[in-house]
Amino acid sequence: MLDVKGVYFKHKNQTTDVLKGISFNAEKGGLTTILGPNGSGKTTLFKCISGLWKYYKGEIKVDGIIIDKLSFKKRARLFSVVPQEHEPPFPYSVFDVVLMGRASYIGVFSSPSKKDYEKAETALKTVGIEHLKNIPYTKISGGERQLTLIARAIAQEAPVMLLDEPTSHLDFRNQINILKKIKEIANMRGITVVMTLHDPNLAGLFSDKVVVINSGSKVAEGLPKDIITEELIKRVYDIEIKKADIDGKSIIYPVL
Amino acid sequence: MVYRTYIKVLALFLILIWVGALHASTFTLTDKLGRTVTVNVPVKRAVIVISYELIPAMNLWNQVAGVSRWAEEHNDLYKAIVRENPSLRKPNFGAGSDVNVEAVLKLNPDLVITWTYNPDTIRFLEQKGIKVIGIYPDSLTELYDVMRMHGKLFGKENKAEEVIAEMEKIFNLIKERVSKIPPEKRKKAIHLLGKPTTVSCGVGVTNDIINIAGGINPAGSINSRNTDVSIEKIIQWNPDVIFIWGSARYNESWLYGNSQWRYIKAVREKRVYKLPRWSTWSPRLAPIALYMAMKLYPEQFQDVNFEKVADRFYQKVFGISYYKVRQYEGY
Amino acid sequence: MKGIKALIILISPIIVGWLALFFGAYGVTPFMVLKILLNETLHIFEIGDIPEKVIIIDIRLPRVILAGLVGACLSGAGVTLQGIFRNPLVDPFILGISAGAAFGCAITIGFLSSLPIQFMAFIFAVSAVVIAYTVARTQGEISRLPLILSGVIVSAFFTALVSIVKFLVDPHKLQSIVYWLMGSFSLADWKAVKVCFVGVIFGVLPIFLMRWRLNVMSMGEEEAKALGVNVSRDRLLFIVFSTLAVAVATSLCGIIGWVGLMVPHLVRMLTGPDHKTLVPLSFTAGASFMIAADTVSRTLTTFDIPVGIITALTGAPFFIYLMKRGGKEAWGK
Repeated sequence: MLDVKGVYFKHKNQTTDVLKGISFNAEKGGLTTILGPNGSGKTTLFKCISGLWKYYKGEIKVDGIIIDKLSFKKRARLFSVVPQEHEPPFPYSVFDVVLMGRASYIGVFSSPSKKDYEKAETALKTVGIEHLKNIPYTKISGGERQLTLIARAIAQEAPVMLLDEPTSHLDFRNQINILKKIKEIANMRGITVVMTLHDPNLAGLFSDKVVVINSGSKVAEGLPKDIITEELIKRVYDIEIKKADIDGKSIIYPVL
Repeated sequence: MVYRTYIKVLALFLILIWVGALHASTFTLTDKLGRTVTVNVPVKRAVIVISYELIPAMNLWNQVAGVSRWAEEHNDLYKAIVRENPSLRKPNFGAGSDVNVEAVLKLNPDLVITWTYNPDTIRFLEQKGIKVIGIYPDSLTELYDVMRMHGKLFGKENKAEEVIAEMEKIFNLIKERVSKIPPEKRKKAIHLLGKPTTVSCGVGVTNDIINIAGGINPAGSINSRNTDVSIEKIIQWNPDVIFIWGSARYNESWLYGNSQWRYIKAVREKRVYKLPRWSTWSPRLAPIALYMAMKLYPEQFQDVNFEKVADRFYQKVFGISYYKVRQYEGY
Repeated sequence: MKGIKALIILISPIIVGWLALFFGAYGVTPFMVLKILLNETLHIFEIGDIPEKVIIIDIRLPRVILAGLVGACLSGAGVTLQGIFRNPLVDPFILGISAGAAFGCAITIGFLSSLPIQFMAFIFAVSAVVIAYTVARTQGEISRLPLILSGVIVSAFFTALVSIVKFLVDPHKLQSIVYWLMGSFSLADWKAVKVCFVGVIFGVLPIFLMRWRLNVMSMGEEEAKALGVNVSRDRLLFIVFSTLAVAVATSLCGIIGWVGLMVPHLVRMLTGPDHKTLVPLSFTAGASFMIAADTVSRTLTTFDIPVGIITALTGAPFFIYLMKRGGKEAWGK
């Protein structure tokens, strides 16, 4: 579904490449995690995929369509981006925020139609937050905000959903809930989810595929249980770990 | 013994004269900003920022070191005189609203006479050690005071009185004709300024000359120099005559062509007049008053030829013909 | 509750405008006012050609309508720019419009007497924003900070030019310039209303149609782009339309501050930040406020108090009161 081929990227006035020829693909309806330490180029890769940064070498395709020359509107119908939750300047209601996901379907001189309102409602229900509909976005918890942004992405009806570190501001309970929800959405609705995470365990527990990045290059790509090994973690994170299997699931823990 | 008394008396006499002379050579006054200024008189090198029409009027040419740029650029009378007599030309130092202090200092003046439009300029000049007097005549009496002050400063008291006398001649002519008119027949007159809805109010020379000309200024009860009013108010006042400030950007036709003004008596009867483009802070205030009076009560001045009276005044006060100055009015 | 507040704000200009017709320096009885209005619209009640008719139909009515339209323009531009700059404390003069208009006025009064002030004020107001925008563009893609910065620079530049004009011009014309800069509706007539209407059609109306997009744009540039909005293009459109509205209004009645800053903020506090409702309510609230302020300015005393003073004097305390009562809420959080 999402094909990234040989992507090189460097900043305007720099000589060193931040991304050095990355290639991977994400299957339709699956949850693909890009894993890597800070400074590995995760965020840069993310921004290239989402279309924010355009000046890269290489090819990024969605369902066969090359994306770099697409208009904002067309791109938004292919990718929905769920940023890390943040505080907007004005206290929009949760519903208002979710409705914004319909922007690529609404003309410049138009306002949302009945259909747009319905889709926003549906998105809220899918994520399970209709009870928060009229509450100001600024008054709900971090976890609820992240869910709101996910609902917005659903309202956007794009086949690919990109999430940038969706768990970084959340407490333990919310981290798990969010990831469960995301997986549910990916599987139920056939949305191709690509997200960046830094926690290998969470990546392992929830992803269908993991792509490991380090220093701008792809280090590994495949099923989590195959990829996340002691050797890989040592190489990428420089930490000694031990792997354990419980009930068919693998987790890693650091050797202290 | 008689000698000693005689010498004592002589000494006393001499001392008195000396003290008197000392005293007579300085002049202390309070200016418009309330500042007390002491000046050595007669002033020998003055810088005149706004009262430059008094230079020809009181023959101050040899005592003036510089004038404002406006004098030669915007003042018809001054321009006419120096064009006719280039030897009278004075250096200039900038405009009245912004004085180039260095240029002023270069002229080495012993006094600067300016208006109080920008008190900061005055303070600034003072700090640089220059004596400054600020003026802003808000009535005819104040204008006379300012003129007399110029007389005292330059040792031209007599000339000042002469000019005032000439002005009074015209004012008396007006008063004489106008006093015959009973109060109920007096005309209401307003004076419009930069905007057609800005009127001259109770404070200022304009109000004084409207009164001298026998008119009644309905805005005279407002205690300020001028103010903005709504058109409704002007309609309510319903003036008989409307005067427009000489330097306004619009003239009578603007009012005549504007449907909002059509019910006002002055507009209906086509008695809207733009005043000549002269400064009202000058001896020329007198002929302006005459102009106003003649427009207010033409029947009282049938025998008076305005231009001839103005010309006579110009010749006597400024030493130049009215017709000559008029050539320069198109600035 | 919120719905009722919104409804009141929505219809307020009609009520306030209506009431304003009964006030004025020339006393006209309410009965007469009604008669005249009915005569003008329904052609009943013969009243003949009396001065009261001129007062109501030619003076008060266009003045009230003009004040309303100007208020809508200023307030509409304010709410738009607050959305674009993601800052509730931005006013419509931030991009240099008022400095440009002031310069246009100064140079016309000072040197180009034959040209109409309104036209020149408009031209330079628009030029100022064009310059500010172009300067900001040299940074590459336009984002908020360069725009604000270049707006400040352009304002300073035009203000300096105004000073030069004041310096060179003859003392009497200086007065004229000063008068014009203090906002006033005293010369309002039907012609001005027609001109302002053009500003409304080409400025206020497009903003109304585009209003929902402000929600998205106010979330941030990156986010808005990811949601499918062509941020540069839409931002440019918003700026063009608000500049038009403000430039037209300013050229007709001088510089009236405070309305564009405060009214949208107040409405946001009362009925919420969703631009779908905020924008139209800002228009109507701005109109009502301006009409009320102008009515006070022309009836409180014999003379017309400059309306900018009224807007500041009434607006500021009310604003402070609302802020205190609202606590943190009041900041829109």
